[in-house]
Amino acid sequence: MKRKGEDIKTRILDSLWLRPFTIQQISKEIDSNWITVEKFTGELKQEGKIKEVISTDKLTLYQKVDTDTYYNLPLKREDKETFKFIFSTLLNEYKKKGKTPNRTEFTKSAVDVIHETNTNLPVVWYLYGQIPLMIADPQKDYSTQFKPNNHKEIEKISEKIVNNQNYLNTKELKLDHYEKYNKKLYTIKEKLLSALKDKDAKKILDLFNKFYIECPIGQDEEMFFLTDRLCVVVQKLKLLKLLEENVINIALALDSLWKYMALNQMIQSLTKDKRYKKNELMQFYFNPVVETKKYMAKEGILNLESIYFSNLDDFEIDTLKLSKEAQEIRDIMEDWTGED
Amino acid sequence: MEKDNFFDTNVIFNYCKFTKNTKLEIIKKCYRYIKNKKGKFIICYFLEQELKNIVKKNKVIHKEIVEKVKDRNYKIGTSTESSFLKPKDVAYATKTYELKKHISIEILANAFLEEETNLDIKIEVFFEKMVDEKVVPINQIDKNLVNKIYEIIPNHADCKILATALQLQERKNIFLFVTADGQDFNPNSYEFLKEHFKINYPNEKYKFPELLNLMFTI
Repeated sequence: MKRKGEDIKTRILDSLWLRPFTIQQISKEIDSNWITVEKFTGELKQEGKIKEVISTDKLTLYQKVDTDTYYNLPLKREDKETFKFIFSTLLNEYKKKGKTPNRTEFTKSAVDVIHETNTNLPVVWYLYGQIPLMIADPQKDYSTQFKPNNHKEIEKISEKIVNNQNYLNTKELKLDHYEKYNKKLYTIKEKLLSALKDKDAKKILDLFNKFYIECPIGQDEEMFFLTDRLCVVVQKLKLLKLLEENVINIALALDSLWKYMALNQMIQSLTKDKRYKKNELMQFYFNPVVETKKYMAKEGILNLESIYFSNLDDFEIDTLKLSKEAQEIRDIMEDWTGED
Repeated sequence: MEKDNFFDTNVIFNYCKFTKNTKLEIIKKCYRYIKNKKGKFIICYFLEQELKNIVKKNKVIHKEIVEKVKDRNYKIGTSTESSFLKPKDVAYATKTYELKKHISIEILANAFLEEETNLDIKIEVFFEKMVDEKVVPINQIDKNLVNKIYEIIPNHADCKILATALQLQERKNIFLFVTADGQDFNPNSYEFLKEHFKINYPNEKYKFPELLNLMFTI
């Protein structure tokens, strides 16, 4: 009887892997009666494996709790097992070398193994490059009995990757990762932070220019407008001779914008994966987070804009000149009125 | 005593676009008019919104060109960001791309950001230092009046600006309605519009501001 109960619970959890359902919907999905499902969802809720996400008098939706993933994003049971196998194999390799990897080293190794072995697992772009959707924590035990079909290849590649991982510092590792997977935007952002730290105005402007070029379009459209706003306000601060003294504020604004952009990168990479459906991901996982990050990005930029505005009174407008190239753009568009 | 000035969006946009290289006479006229300020400068909130919209379009046009330079197969005007561009805006983007596609993308992007910054600052300084009064919040624009103007002028933005001016004129001495629109607000059309209101809405007794169309001044 106990075994049967556990089996039903596993089936309930499997049915909830991507999106929340009502008890009625779960009953239909796993072909079991309402009373049984109601009993076991109650137990799963007590165990903290599922939670109520929308609860009204008439409708209660249950969502699986995936604490092993970023933003509790859904992960199929077999994918989780494969991740565990890869993580555990890598940790064994590190152990053989007598090395304890830091989180970045461990994460990037896992990503490389997944790519080089063509293992079909969700890998997403986020704040510091690609990450496995399941959180890779080198302090955790990932022992598993499960062996994926390509386990021998995974073991071979893991050994090679751990042996070859030889970086001076995490920054070097990250830059190499961005270059390897051809993600210019990430490289530029990393260099921008260094230039801001060095207060190198010329480099800062040059890198913001590159950041503007690489800013993706066709995703969340606010992303481009906020990027453009940040690039322009940095130019304005330069004109008002306020850039150097505000590098910390610029770095903070860039950081908040980056968190919003990186989340969009995550959404983009996850929705390219056939296992996931964008509408459901947005509705049940991302929408509130995206709004919060967007709000924070706007706040950071507004802070810079308010510094600019509070110093605008002293600015002599007649000193404003256009470079030859910008003047040529203005000339081409001279008779453009912009009106509808 | 100098009359006050109520501005149409195009005058402000032209003023902000002016540089020493400007060739178009109307841009020069708008610049000179604003620079030699006489009387109060009045703008409405709708103008501010319209100007922001134009600036936003300018930014999207630039980014569309950058995307095209990055990828020759990219079709200008197809991104979600550019969905609000009109065919004439896409035509300007295409023209600029054709003329500038050979220069390096870094130089081009830098020129775009510089141009945007320049335009932004001029607009912001104008609002900060030259505007004396900002009137009629957008939600207080008389929709009924907008529709009446629309009977003659088939452009919603123009109708809203003029409706705002008419609303303001009810409680002020006659001021100038300053525009650079050679079509909808040319002197003949404006007279026709005034006649139309006299004939069709005699009870309302609308007061029209005095038209100053810089297209038709020396």
